[in-house]
Amino acid sequence: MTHPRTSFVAWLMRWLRRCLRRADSPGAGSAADCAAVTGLRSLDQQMVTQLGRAVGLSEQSALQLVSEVSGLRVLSSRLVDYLAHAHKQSEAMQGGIEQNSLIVKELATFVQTLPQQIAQERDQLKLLMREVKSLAEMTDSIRAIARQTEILAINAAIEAARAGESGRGFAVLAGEVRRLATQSNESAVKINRDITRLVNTVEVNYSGEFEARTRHNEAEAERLGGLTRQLDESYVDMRQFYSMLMTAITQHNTELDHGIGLLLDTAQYQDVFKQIVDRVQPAIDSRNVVLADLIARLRAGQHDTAEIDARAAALTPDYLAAEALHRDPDAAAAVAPGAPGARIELF
Amino acid sequence: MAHILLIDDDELLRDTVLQMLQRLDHRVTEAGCGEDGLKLFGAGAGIDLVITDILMPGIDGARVIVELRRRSPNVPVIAISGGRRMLSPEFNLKTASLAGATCELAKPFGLQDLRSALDEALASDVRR
Amino acid sequence: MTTIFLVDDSATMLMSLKTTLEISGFKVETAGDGEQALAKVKNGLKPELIITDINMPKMDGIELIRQVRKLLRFTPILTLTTESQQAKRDEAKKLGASGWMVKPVSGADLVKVIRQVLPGA
Repeated sequence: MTHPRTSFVAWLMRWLRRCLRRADSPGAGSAADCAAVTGLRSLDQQMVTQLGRAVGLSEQSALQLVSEVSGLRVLSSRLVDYLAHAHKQSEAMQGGIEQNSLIVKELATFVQTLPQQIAQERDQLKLLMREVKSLAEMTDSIRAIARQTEILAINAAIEAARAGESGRGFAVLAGEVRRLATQSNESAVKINRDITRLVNTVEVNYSGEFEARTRHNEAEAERLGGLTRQLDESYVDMRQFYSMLMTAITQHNTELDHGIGLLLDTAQYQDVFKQIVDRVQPAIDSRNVVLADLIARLRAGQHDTAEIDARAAALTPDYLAAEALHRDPDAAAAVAPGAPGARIELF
Repeated sequence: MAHILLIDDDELLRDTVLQMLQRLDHRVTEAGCGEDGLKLFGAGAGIDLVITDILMPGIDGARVIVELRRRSPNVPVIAISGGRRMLSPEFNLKTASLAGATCELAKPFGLQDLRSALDEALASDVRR
Repeated sequence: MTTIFLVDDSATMLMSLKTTLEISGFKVETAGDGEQALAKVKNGLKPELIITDINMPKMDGIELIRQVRKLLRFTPILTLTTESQQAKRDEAKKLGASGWMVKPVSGADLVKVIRQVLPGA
């Protein structure tokens, strides 16, 4: 894939070399010794040299561009590789995220059951309070019975003191006492039963079951607390993941910009050697004018070519002078900035 | 014998690595976080090599490396990482590489691994 | 956003400089020769800075500087050229150019100079 300008330059150089060879070949006759021709050959040589420089610069520049583009490709493939890793990492995190939503569900469930449990415990407490109240009532009746028994005992003592008269009063009393004893017995049994029931209630609600439930809730809370910490850590990790992704990509972009900058700098050389090639054209035009005049003269049989010789001789210095007007890019780089003749000068 | 700056928030690991580095005859300056590490680094004069962890509270190791490079484009940097529940060491070390690390080491590592990493890092005169 | 006006008959030059400057955050207008450039200014273009080649067809950089200075008295004008004639440089300076740069100039150096000439850009 040859650039049109490169093939033009190549053609030009071939033509110039042919001119040089023709001038050297035997049988060219007196023309070969003509001073004018020497002048023309000298110009041809200079143009070949300059074009050679242009070609050299062009090749150098092309190689530089290729190398820089390769560099950019390396950068690009590093990024692609990195993104593949980032993708893998984000997939791994996906699993973690799913776990997290399960944890959140568990937390939600636990929290939702609490009101229910509290209501249950409140009901049981109410039950307990009722039992305790009935016990209190029981206590009252026991006291009543005890008072009656006391009164009876006092009566019995009085009756016993009057015992001699008739055993009838005593028998009645004995009956009363027996009745009271039975009542008291019944009450005692009832009380026993109630107390037993109460104790059972307490045991059932506040020993084994209640304690177990409380311990279970505490354990659950601690476990869920641990899971919550895990949740928090994993969100920290996720934030960290994105932060690192951004850092890597930003750094990549910085290097990319730098690489592109170098590329663009190299592209400027295009213009420099374009101008070298462009300047050859006017030199060739001047050369051809001199050549045409020389041929016309010789054809007319006039061998005094002094004027044309002078013009031919002037061609090379003129061309070189024009070339000197344009800075050699690499020479200019060697001068310190700010110094006269430096690459950049601010007025 | 090099002057090495070691940055890691894990005290136990820092101690272990410090001992390894001293066995290899290097002078070590320690830092417990990225900020302190950067302060100690300054403009980079006198530090021959930096070893930095990636997962740290505050500024993470990847950002530390970017900043180190900005201040001293040629200082060799070794990135180390053990990963966490959700972040694999591979990802962390790849990030470090793009950030500008010279070479990477996965935790846990032994004296041999450390020695070869040091050789590799100190031998490179231009980063990557 | 700072607008920089590039004038050069080389399309490659314009393209590479434009891209470099746009990456650095500048807005860029271009023209392929002095005549086109002057027309744009007469049409209302008010760049913060002009960077121009010297050797161009239709109207060269020196003439451009002369003409533009009549319309934009304080806009900095920098030349970017392969031209090394001291006389041309002196003439540009006399006509009001703000600086003289020789091709090729690295993107980094160019941006540095621009920031010197336009502080705060």
